Amino acid sequence: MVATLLLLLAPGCDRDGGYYVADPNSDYPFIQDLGEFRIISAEEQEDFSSLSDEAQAEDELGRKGVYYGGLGAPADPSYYGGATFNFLGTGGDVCVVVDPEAVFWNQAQSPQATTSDYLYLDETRDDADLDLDVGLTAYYTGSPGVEMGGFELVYSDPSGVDHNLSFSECLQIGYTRLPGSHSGRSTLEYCTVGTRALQGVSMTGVLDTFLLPINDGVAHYALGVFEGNCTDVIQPPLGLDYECFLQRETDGARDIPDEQATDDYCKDPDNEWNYACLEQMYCDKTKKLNEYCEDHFDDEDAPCIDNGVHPPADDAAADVGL
Amino acid sequence: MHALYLAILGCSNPEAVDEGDVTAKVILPKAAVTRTVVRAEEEDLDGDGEGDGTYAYTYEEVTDPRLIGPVYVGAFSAIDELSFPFTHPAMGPQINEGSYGDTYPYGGATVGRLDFACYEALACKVTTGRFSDYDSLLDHFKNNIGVPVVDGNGEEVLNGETMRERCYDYFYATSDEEMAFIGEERLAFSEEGDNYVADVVLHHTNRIDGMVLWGFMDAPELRTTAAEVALNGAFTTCDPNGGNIVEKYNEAFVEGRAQYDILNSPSTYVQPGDWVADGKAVVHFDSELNQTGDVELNLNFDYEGE
Repeated sequence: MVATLLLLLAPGCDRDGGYYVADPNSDYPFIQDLGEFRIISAEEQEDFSSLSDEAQAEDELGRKGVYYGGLGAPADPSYYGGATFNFLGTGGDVCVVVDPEAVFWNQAQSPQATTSDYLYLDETRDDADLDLDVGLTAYYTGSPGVEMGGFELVYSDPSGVDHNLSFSECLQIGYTRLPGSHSGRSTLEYCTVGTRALQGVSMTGVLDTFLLPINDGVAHYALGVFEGNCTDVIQPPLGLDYECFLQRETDGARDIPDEQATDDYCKDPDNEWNYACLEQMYCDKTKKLNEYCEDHFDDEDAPCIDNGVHPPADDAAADVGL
Repeated sequence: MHALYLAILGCSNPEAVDEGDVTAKVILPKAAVTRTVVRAEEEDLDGDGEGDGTYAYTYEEVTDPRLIGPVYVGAFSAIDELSFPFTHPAMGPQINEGSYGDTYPYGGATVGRLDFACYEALACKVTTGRFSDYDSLLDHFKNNIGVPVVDGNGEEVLNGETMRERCYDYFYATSDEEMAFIGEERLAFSEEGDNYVADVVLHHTNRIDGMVLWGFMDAPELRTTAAEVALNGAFTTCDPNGGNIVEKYNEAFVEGRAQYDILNSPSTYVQPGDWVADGKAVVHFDSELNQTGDVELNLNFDYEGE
């Protein structure tokens, strides 16, 4: 009997799952209050680039524009981590957008149809997932910079039974058309917050750390608060370029050397792929990654994976009678 | 050894569930199904012995349990007698502009539910547990509702055999047992004196001593002017744009389905003509959470509008 028990227990002893838990990084807090954000106006959104100094500039009161940051892991993985930030209601719609690293169009999570010619190279260990929420500051239950919270309050009915109520103003609709959804890892999250009756009222935004990358334990992200409805603010063509609205969030550096950005293969000096560079190549309208892959189809070093639907060059030539 | 192992696993899952079944008797006065109905008779204006597609209407007051629409029953914390012209479950705080607070029901059930009965013309108009067979259903729509059932070509469905064939074809079915909207044994209400009564079970309901059962009967639309007769038979608790989307050959329509928040926001759906509970069906439990006493849910308030 003892031998049987040992046999049952044995398979469970060869791993502890620690590989999947990110280590703390002293340079990045696991809970952070980012302070006040300014609303990026509709005028500023014309010819908008998240990389411009104007977009990232603080206003005279020190309120942030587009912000690039990073969240780390807690020493105790059982603690919830994340960031909070505030902004004032404008009296109209406000669009809050966060883009966690890295990119969602890669081979692991690609929205590319299986009939697309190429999948793109991926590093599955560098993906972060931050869940966005927004509500009235007065309803926020956490302690900014100390402890994460939410916008759930308790209603006790006449029989004394408690019900949790959500006072979130950030409505995200999922594939099933149900509210309360969040995007998957690496994918942009955004919501339109109606502040018609809340002009000048303080709103709190929350980024809940849902997944930390296990390569460096830091969830880099870009974050901004914009005037208007998100359907007007983001406007991605064909749905693929959401990734390009806030760019280079991948390592937060935003300072890809020109020589590397123009390098054919976007490789760092240590021969590792630079995903900020790849994202730029994807988003650059003059050098789309699909076109790049088309040009470098036979190059084994290119960050493109043949999806098996691209006709071999010889066959294509035969098709046109060459 | 394996038995011991399984026994150990079983012991680690103590249950402390306060959910259970709650039973009640739903009582609906005959007055709720005593209505002036519309009878449609196809006219033969050219005298060729065949109907020409136009109808003449006659009116008559009848008492017929087929006029009972879906009955929605919920268990709630308390009754609010002030907010509406009818009793209503107590509500939580108003969160969204332009809508009332949620009622947070502890559980719910229906006596008869909305069902799709094979023809587009019947979408959002058929309740289960009301019809013994196809002929009974066709007769109801012709002689109570005033809108004879028509097929996809607009031709009146004249007998139950035709409807059976259509239903078997539509649902890929092989027996009447598969049609939830007919069946003598499925009839939910029975006659008791001046009332129609039915038993209802609210499964998996949070058992809170002193909670109140409340509900309403969604009565079918029943207008008596010729211009409006086409609207008859519909239920306000049905979403005509929801449910299965059907595209078969030359047919394209939506089957309809019940609204999803009927017990959470009942005031949205209670309309003039519906019959509403009096709010006095209190449920008690003993210390073991066994229901004590019989509960009668009287739907005896005829809501005629504000």
